[in-house]
Amino acid sequence: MIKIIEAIRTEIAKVVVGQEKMIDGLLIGLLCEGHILIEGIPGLAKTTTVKALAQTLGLDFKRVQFTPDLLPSDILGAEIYDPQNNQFKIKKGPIFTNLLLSDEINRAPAKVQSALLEAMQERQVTLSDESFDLPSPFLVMATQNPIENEGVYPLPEAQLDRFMLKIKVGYNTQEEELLIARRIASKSSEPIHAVVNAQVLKELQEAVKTIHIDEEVERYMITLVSATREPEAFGLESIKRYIQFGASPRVSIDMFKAVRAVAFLRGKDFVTPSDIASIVKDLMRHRIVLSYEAEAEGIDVDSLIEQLVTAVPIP
Amino acid sequence: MKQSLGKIGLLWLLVASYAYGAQYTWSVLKAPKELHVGEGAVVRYQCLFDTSAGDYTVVFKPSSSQGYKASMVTQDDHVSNGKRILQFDVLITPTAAGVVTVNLDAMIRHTTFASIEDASIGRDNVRKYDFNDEKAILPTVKITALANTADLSGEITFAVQVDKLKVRAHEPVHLSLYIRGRGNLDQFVPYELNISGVKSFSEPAYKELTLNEEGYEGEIRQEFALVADKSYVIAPFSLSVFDTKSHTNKLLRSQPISIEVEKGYVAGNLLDAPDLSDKNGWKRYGIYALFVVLGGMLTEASRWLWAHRPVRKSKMFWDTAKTEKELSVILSLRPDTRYEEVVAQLDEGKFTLKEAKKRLNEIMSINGGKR
Repeated sequence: MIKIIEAIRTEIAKVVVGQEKMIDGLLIGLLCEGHILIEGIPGLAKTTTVKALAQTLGLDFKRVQFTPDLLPSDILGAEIYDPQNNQFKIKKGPIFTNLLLSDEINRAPAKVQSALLEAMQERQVTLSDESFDLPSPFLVMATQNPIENEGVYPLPEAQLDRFMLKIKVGYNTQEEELLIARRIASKSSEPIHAVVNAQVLKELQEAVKTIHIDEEVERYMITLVSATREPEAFGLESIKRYIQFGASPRVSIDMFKAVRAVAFLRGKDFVTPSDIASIVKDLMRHRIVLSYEAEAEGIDVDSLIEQLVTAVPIP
Repeated sequence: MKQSLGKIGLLWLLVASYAYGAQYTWSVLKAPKELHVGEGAVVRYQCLFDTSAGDYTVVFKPSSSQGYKASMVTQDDHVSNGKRILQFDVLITPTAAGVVTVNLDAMIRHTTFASIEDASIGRDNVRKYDFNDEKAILPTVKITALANTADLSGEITFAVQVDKLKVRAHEPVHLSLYIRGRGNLDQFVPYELNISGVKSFSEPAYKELTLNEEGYEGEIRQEFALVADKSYVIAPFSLSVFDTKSHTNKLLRSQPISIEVEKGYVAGNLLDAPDLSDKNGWKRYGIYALFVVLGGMLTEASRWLWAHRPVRKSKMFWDTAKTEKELSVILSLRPDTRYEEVVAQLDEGKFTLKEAKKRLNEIMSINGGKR
């Protein structure tokens, strides 16, 4: 199984240099059927990576560029009149796909973002008075620019909660950037081949579910999530005023899935606390609502999560 | 009612007084017969009213004319035996020889009836004072002015002072000229000083004079600053004076003053003189060079000391970990793939805490200490 993962990595590496954490996050989302939100400034290969992943999977892939004038029907589809048959028919939108790349999702207004809510959670779309199931697997991989940028609409908390992971993409190292520049200058990128199909992907997802989590580790995860709501219980009174709302139960659900995938990607059949620590920031950073004091004092949510993890006793 | 009656009574008296008016006569009480040109003397005029003349104002401003200069010295105004008497002492100084005829006039101002009425009733929308003016020609005074060619007349002394007789080139000499006494000092014409090869700087003459019956009394001071690069002589100053006491002409004359000017100068004599002598130049530049060398050595020494300072081992973020599990979690929290190898070894129990930290230090040293 791990060979398949390595094959996917190899194919993606044909067009993407570095960014291993982002690729791992995407694979985790794929293995757990969780939606992924990727945040980073323009030019860090967010879109390229998602496209490359879709190509390696051999799944149906569609990309929607979110713009301020986008309408919900542009994504979901609509009931349109067919003059030949003199009747209305359903025209399905690009959301009916396996992998949907919602590029720059926070450039679209709130009504479009909300249109994705039902699809992401229920995996079905209602058009006119009829509901349609989305194909399986269905995965939304959204990219967004940091909210400090011009012309963006912040995603509402309800929708952020639908994303299993929020991956922050940073700059490449100097060596990686040199390789990117050389590769682009020589136009030497190789074509990407599909190394996985739907059946194999299904098998991978099933394999992930077999990864063992010890009861103590399970409790450790629940404690971590609780610590975001009651940090004072772990001797962290000082950070309580920075957290307005802690992580929701959906975090616990997603954490149980994601840590299995992390262990799977590391070639293990059981979960250790280090697996949890490696994914906990991606799981929580978009689900913890900071208070005004935190924003005023420039407190970073990642540093709060780090404090929480180090404060909770490790099993 | 009583107050109203009082006002009416006062008004009636004033009206009666106005209706009749007062008579006045001008006379000369004192006047010289003969003066020398430039010699001043007082002419005393008197204006005598036949009443107290409270509603009269006398405006007398003697003006100079061709042949004489007139200045008011004192004036007196009093009532004696119910009659108002005004006396004016006017200093007359002939300016040209011959018979000087002094014709002066004054303005007699009589307060008007309307003005009195307004003042009595308390009207406030009219001019406060209103007069009927009448020009009065004063008695003529003839004075024989005798010729006098002296610069000044009076009892006058003359003094010249310098602060130094020996200076270095371009060092200023301060020359002061004093004219003191009494007489027509107001007619003094300041001296102009022109000495070949000498730059002369001067300010307007300072006059501290007061007017009295004998003319202007006080002091006139004129100051010069003289600058030269060669020795020079200040020529004698002379002033011809007509002595009004002895009625003789005198010539006041100062002595010539020799100023010795030496070549060159020393810094102590000038406020901002640079030391142009080159005898200490090498010392100065030597000191500068020494400072530059010392500064360079000090800088290099500081750099060497900084580079060779004892480096204390900095605390790494993983040093807080007390168990293998803690270290594994701490490393996993960092988005750095370099730690994955150590995390895997720790999870598999292949590394102790010490071994893991040692390996981490090796990784950091391989990667140039980037954390």
